[in-house]
Amino acid sequence: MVKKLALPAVGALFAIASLILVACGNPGNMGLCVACFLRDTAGALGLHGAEAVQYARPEIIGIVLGAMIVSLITREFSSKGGSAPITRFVLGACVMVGALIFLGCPTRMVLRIAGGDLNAIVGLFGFAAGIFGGIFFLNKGFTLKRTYTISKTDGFALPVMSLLLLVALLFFPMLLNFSEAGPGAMRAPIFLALGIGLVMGGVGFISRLCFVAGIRDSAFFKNFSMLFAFVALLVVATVGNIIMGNFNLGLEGHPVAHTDGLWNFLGLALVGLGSVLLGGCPFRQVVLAGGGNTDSVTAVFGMIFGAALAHNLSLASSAAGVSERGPVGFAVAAVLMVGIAVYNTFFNKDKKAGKV
Amino acid sequence: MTILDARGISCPEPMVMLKQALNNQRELTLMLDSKNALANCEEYAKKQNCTVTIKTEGDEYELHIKANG
Repeated sequence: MVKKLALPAVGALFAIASLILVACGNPGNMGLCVACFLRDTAGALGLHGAEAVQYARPEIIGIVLGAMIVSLITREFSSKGGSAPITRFVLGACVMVGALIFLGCPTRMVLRIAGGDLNAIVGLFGFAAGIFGGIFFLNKGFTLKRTYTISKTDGFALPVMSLLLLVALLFFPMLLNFSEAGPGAMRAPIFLALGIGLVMGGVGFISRLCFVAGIRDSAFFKNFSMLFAFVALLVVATVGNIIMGNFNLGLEGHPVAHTDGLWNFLGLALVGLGSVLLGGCPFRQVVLAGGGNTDSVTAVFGMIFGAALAHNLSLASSAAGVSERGPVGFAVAAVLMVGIAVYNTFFNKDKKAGKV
Repeated sequence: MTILDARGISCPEPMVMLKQALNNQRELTLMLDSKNALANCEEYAKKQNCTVTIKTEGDEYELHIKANG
């Protein structure tokens, strides 16, 4: 196991991986954004019709397979699931709606701040507010109940699907959609992206890197080790952006970002709350999914579904700003999320785990 | 002595259960079945100045946690 002291090194590695991916073709400040790349993958599979964001991102495939390989080596691969699957699916979808209103997951939030994007600092306050909301529910007894050991076919389903997607990407690209312009057309070379995904998936599994845990554990458990990874990522990515001439301090002119402060705040508040309820950020969910955790697979499928909905129903923001329907999408997602939190905290205690 | 059964419970819930139990108890047993929860709970208990002894049976762990001082 990577000692806690190594977490800053993991954050720094994440930053370097992101900088390399952007330098080699990925969209600006989007080196390794899990929400963006799940959204692009949904587009590649034809689940949404937004032509600018369609590409089966090898980074996601790599993270899933990297986590699977390392979990098999460390004998921690474990097919488990059954903890409120539909609730997790809905939470995943709501998290994605929030991320696409902000335009990025917590990973990209840090990368955007590192690029000088002050809109992402507004988002960070929203993210923290959402996490504090989640801590409130955790403290009052929020639970999605027990998970169970299940068939190995369940645990290996997502890695196998990821492998099939890789085969399609490499040998049968005619089966998939590819953006010809826009962020989806900005791509690092396949094998570089795949390799970085594999490394980050493996390292993510061993280190348990989670962008929600940084703030959650500092505030709730007074454990700051994960926060250091968060800070290391920010510092290294900022220095890297300055060296590469990609640092542009201000609110305007940032790639794939808008300047509406209210919705940057609210979008990431939804991501923060939902991620605490799910037990981890989108990156952590993909990593756990690779390790056989089908509760996380369900959350990832929910995120893919949420991305498809967000684009098909025009809920997602764009660089021009929040869409007309974005606030409606936010309201629905927020009501669902808070409803789930309230019910599973205050009204679902009959079979709650606890004292024997 | 209180026995907390957190088997099958995903992080961070086992840590929340442990944190709340340690607020009013000096000694307890915590049952877990994931290495993730084991690492987190062991670290948390030690930071709270507790002695932790771990009994492992297959994929299940029984942590005996006792507050020092």
